[in-house]
Amino acid sequence: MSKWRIINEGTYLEPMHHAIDEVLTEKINSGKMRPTLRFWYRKNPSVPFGRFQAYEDEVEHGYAEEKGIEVVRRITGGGAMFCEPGKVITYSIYIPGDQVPEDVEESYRELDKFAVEALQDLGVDASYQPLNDIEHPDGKLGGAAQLRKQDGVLHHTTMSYDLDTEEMLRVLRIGKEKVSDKAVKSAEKRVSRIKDHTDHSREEVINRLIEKFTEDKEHQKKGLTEKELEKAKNLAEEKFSSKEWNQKL
Amino acid sequence: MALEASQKVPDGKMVEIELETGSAKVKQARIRGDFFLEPPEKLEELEARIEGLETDTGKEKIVEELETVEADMIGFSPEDVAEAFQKAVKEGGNDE
Repeated sequence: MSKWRIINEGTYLEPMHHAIDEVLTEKINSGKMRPTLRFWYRKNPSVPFGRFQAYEDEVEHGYAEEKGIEVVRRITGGGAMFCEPGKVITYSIYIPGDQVPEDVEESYRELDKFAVEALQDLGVDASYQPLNDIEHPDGKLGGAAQLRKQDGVLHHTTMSYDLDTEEMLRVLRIGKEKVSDKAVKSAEKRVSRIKDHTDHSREEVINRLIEKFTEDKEHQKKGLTEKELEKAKNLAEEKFSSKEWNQKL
Repeated sequence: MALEASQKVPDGKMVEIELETGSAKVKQARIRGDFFLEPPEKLEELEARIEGLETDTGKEKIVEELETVEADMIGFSPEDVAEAFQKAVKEGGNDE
């Protein structure tokens, strides 16, 4: 197996992160990149929402605009999440398809296993909850989403470190009536935060995640290349900042 | 007429359906939610399979139509969409 690449640097706007995900997923899918783990660092609060969700129904757009919250449609399915710089932990795994269990549930369990174990090491009672959640007995700590291409898989996960859950309820349209009709969306389950269960800083948690992930893998820390950045920049501008993409559904 | 309904899937996913109907047929269908679909581009094909169906189409027939699409529906199933369809027809009308 080839050496893993670990990217633990680079602070970007929300569209850029999704563009990097798309560029690196294409690369792993075409066999042009080593398997890679990347951590996200954000500049602004944001709401990445699911590929198949209705733009209008998930976010209080007036409030988001007023607060400078970036709203971006993901290339993966799943639900909307509220994120704040330094208050969530997001990572992406880009991995060849033949290294991922074919069974979807098994693959979520497998690819988030290091995170669940790292949290347990730090005293957080975390566990995998099918299909794509990481749970604490007090509530949901985080969620994952995958894009499965022919020969490569993107698996990204966001966990709450010490998210402002009251702000989250103002931004996300949880338990509110849909914009497009009179039906009420059902309330999401409770959210729990890593910080509620451990004294370790966010940086320490990320370091522990990297240690756990790499303990059985050959690896090397290496940032994005000029070419990757250039491609992602274009895609961030043309796709992930566009109404055509973000408001397509 | 616009008909809408949401269907909660047992593991927590939400499937929302919106049907634009006329003369007892579906003219336009929209399927939305926090599910997964591989490849993602197949969403439009799923919707197209529902378009043209009579509004009183049975569950089995709807499932059959959706199953002709070559895609992996993850976190939801053709049955969930069919149930949402029937719920929308039965009780999903807007009071407009």
